[in-house]
Amino acid sequence: MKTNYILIVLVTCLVSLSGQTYKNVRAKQDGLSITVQYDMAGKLFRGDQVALTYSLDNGKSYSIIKNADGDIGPNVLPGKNNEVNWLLIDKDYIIGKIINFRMVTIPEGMVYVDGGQFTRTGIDSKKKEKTEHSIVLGSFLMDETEVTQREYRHVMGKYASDYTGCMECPVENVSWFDATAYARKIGKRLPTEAEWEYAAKGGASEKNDFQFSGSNKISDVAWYLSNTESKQPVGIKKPNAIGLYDMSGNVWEWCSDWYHEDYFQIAESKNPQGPDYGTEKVVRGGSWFSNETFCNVSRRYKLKPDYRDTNFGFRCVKDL
Amino acid sequence: MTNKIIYKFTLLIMVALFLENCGAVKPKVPASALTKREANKISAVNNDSKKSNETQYVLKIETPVETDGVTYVQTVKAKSGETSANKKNSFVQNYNDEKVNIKANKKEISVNSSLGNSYSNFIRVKTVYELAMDANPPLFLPHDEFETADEYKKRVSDQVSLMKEIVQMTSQKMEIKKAQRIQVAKDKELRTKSILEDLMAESSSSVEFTPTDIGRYNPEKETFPIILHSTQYQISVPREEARTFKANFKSVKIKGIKQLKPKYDVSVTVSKAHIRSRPNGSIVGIASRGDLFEHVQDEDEWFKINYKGQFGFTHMNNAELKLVDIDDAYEYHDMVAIHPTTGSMFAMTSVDKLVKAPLNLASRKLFEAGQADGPKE
Repeated sequence: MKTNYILIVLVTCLVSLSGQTYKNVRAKQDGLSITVQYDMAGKLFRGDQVALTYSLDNGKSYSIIKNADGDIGPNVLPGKNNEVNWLLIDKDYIIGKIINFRMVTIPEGMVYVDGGQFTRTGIDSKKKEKTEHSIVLGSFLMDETEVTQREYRHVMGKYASDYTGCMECPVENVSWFDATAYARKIGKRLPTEAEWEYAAKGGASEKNDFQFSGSNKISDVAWYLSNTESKQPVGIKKPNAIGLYDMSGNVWEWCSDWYHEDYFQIAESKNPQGPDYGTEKVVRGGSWFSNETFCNVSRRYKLKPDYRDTNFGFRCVKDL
Repeated sequence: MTNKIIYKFTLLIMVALFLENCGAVKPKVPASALTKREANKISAVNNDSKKSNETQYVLKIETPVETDGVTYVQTVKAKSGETSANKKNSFVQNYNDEKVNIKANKKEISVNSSLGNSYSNFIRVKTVYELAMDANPPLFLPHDEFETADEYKKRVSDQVSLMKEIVQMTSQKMEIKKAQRIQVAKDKELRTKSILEDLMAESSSSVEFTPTDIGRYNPEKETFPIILHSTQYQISVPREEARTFKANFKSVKIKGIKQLKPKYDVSVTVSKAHIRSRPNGSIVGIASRGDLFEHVQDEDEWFKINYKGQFGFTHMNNAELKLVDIDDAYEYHDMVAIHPTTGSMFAMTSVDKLVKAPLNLASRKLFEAGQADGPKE
């Protein structure tokens, strides 16, 4: 009992000490700008970034601020009274609103996906009619690229079975169970299908109506059947509007949801997590072995969770 | 039994503390913080702001609205495209609507201690119109019965001027703050660099070794390999002296200078720089101006860096070195080996190409001048 107790205390302390903690975050309007001051404890890891987010809906969801000045970004030092200034000229959407802010740390290699609402279109399997469903998601962090061979080797201590020497290529030949184990090991998780589609479409950004993730011209953004004969290093093609690479093509990406043909017609609109039961898991995005149709951001596909092949990989998300 | 309860209780407290520290506890606006009237009004203003794409000016009024411990800032909109008369009418209406909720006494905006640590207090953002009104209340009074039309017109025109002035002043203030920040950062960097260089210079001292072992002579290159402090060196010894040098190597003296080893970051100086797997190798990533990477060593015209936990290379034309720290370990330079019998001095060069010290100014200047050619990225 004593040993367990000490162990828990140690683990809790260590986890609390790692990363940053923010305190005394206070906002005030200063003429046409808003000044946010905060105290930060804990040195920023190389590559991580301090970001300022705001909420206009009583703290339900927070959007990232990209054009503020001051103590945000990758080189912020811990200390008291760090300051961020946000100029409000032309920011009509802020005027008259009740607003509050949240300081967050964005880990290296991840993208902040603003929460928001999007419409999912599908085909009713029985009536064969087009259906539309509105989905609301909170903010989350998503890997900017698919998990690479190198990352997988580093975390899991072994190569995935089809390692072919390209360390910067997406890891493949991983089952849903392998992907989930990887994500859990580093405190992340697989995206839900709704999160994946929302992020692939560009999240809350205005440029979110492309067929493929980031463009209507597939060759700009994806490695697929017509431009490659194998997987390619991640992050080479153009990213989508929120900075995510290879959401279309390269390798299919496992999602956490069980698959059901008509799930989105009955799913709850807020943060749907997928059906409770199923036999196959959702994969999205298409791969180097897919034609254009399968690389479409709305296209769904499913596989048994223990299936492995050379064109199936994954990326992770992290809750804020 | 008691132990079990204490154990569970402590665990609960620690988990709660941890969640709070991580900012996982989301703030809630107390339901009572907004009156129904306020809520409706905010929603109306929000709808208006969605409908309009015109530029609007926002001004600060030093009159926070405090409700149940949460402080809000009052807001009124003023569109730059509106006519003066419209503006005045809309202002009067807005003002009359909202003044009910504005407390007359000024108070500092306070942080609500019930919020999670990483969350700020709530504020309501004011418009330029309201800020101007606060700055000069008489200017915004309704049309007086004794005021001529021309006088009133002038007053409305002054209102617009005041709003523009406030907009300009805020922009200027931000620019000044930005410039100050850049200057402070530059000064700090220079100060740090100076301190570190002083420390390194202070640590610099001459050293003398006697080698314990020496490798096989390479007659083609006329060099002996030698390992000192885990670093491989080459001693350039002409063939005519090589035999006697090796025969008496236990009496060879190696002299040089040691100093604390610097730690550099590689700072990207171009808008986009390719990170490659090896010099001229495949691209593994793209870095932007200002990105910093841990410097591992130089390889010809390339910086070897730590890129996302792996080695990467970027060309020296695309980046520069920044001194960020010093190591506990020493590095050795200006090393010479002295022949025990002839007294000849032979240069020793590092095979591993040690990280360059800041005192090695000649080679540093070469990087900075960008004299080394490389592929354009």
